[in-house]
Amino acid sequence: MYLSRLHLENWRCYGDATFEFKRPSNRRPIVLIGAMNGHGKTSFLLSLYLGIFGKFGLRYCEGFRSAGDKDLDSYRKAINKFRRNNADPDHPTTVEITFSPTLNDAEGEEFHIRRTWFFSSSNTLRQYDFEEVEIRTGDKPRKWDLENAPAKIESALFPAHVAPAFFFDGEQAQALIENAGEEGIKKAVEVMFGSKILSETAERVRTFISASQTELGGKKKLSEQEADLQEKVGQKTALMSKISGIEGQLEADRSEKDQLERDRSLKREELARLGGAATADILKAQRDLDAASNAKVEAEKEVSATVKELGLALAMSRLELPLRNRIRAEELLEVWENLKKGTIEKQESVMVAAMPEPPEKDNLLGLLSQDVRQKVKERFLRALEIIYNPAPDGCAEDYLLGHARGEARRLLQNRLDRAVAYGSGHVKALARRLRDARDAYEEAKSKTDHLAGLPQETEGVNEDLKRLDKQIDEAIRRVNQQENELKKLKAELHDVSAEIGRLRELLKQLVPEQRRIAVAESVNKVLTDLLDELRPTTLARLEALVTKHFIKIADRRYRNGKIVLGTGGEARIVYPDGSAESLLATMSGFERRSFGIAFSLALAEITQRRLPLVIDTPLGNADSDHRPRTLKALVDEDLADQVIILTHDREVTEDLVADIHTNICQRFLVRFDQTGRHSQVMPNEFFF
Amino acid sequence: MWRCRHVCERKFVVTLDPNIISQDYPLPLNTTNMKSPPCFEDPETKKAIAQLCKDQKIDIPLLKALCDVTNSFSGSGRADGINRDISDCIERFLERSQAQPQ
Repeated sequence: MYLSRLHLENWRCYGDATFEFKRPSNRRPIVLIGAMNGHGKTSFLLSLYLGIFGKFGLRYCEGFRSAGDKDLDSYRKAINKFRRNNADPDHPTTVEITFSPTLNDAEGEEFHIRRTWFFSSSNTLRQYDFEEVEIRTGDKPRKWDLENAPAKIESALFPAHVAPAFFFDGEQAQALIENAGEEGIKKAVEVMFGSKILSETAERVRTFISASQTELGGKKKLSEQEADLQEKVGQKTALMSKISGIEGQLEADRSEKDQLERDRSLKREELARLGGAATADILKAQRDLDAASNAKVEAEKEVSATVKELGLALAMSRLELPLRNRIRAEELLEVWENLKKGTIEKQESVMVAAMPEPPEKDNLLGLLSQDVRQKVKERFLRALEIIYNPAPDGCAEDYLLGHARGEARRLLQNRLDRAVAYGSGHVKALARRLRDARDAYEEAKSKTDHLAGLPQETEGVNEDLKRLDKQIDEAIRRVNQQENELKKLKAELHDVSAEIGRLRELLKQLVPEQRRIAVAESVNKVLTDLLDELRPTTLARLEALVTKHFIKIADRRYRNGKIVLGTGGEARIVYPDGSAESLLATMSGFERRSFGIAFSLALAEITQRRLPLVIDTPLGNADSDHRPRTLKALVDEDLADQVIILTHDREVTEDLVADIHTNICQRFLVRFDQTGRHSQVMPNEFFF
Repeated sequence: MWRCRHVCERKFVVTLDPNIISQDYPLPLNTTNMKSPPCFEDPETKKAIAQLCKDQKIDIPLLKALCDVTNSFSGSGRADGINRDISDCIERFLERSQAQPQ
């Protein structure tokens, strides 16, 4: 990939300038751009940072190094600063960059970015919609929103944080090392072998695991959910077994009761036989007694159930009218409160619809002064209040039946209706029926007792009958008790079955999700272990690469040394005899610059992307010995298909150019035109 | 070399014949535009990665796909949808595992 075109409009000293770069060959990768101080070298470099990465490139611009990615104020300040001073307010500032495939990029496509900044009539960056970015891949242009464009660009070129490895000035390369310290080395190591992306991926995977577990109801694992299910299934089995046991016992008790009743019947017949002429009376009296007893039990049950059901309702029925009025009043209050709340919630959107912000967007009322607009707004708001003020007639002032809202209120009304429908008459009739049943029972019992005392022989039978009565009563008590117990257990069984159903449904979702979580946990483990293993390896590789580049550029005395990057960020050079010296503390300015360039070149090599290298004043204050060596090192490196060197007339001198002329692909001269007050690009020209 | 990345390209991976995707390198190494992190290509670290993956019963294409997903969300302020993409990657890995049990 090589930089094939850079077009700048109203960018610093450039009014409307275009650099058209030829496709470099393997033998001729060098492009020389000559410009005197202030004529446009740094502007060229800055246009790449901000044109490609927008606000994410700001941190590499002199004066804005501390700006964060979200520091929009600094970004706006920078764009205002970098706009050409005498630009026409109607014309935006534009940076247009095109990368094209080299002969080495067999499947490559052209990648084009155009970033435009718009300004207001006062020639300051617009408040809104001030930036636009268009990305074209091949021949497919597309406008991207500013949030998603960086990902697209970074995936096509390189991550913004390694931009200084490809586009840098000599001083910056030195500062990269001096200022970054341990953090700089750590970042470099993170880039190397992609451990940064591995680290980010591990973080993302951990977030995924956490989110998935939360979605599945906390951190309960599949095994725990399965254990819950097993426990419930166990409970269900135990309940069913218990129910089965009680049903068996109930069946036996019912049989026993039936048998006892049959025995009693036989005894009664025997008693009747012994009673002779009174037989018919005795039998009838016994039948009457049985019937009266059943009627009494039934009447008692009905009264008990009805009173239980209607106890509260009867009380309510006496308060029917005031209660109905209260319910209606509170219903009105609730409706009114909802209306009020809804209106207040929509107030803002109504105001936005009525009076769009900012006033420039308001064709109708936008011309009003701020003061008048505020008053109109207040009037609108007062008008809106009419929707819910005052409260409707009959509306309660507060909630006395606080618990009865919505559905609960409807249920309360239904209950009230039922209570009124039943009325007290129904209960009175039931009470009468119970009293009659009791009277009938007492009468039948008295008659039976009287008849039972008649013959002497009947005493034994009577004793048997009394014993049977007791046994039957006991059997009935047991049957009732078991029926109640059975009812309770069946309700419990119903609840447990419902819980089992819920857990099974959850497990249906849980199994695939837990499987995914298990894989994610394995991935997290691999990435964590991998990062631990990569750190020492990557540091060793980085040291080897920096050493390789440094000894090509630096003084011969360092030739046998090996650069060691300490954990504290201190770079040392260690010689075969074991002696070592601290590089940054002992080296000269240019040697430190050489080290910075070597470090940047190492980073570029780590990323394994063949992108253009753009270096502003790489030689700086190098002496006549270092100059050709540094230049030659840049030419010889097979890190990029294109190396663009921005230089002034005293840096890359005529004799240096002569040394590398077989590697030069193209030359440009940039000259500031005092009349037009802008820099002009002159292809195929140089200082000499 | 970088290639244009489209959502449909990633979805295409899902629709591959399981018999094809279950081969040694089930997914093309460069399924999207992202170049694999260099450690995946380095002979020394490649071995370490392969061993770690084997120990944890996962495969290298899954790691690469997850790095790609992370990269596509990196620095862009995009946050919505990354968990879904991670889930898709894992799902594809599970499909591969079923097609070719280890």
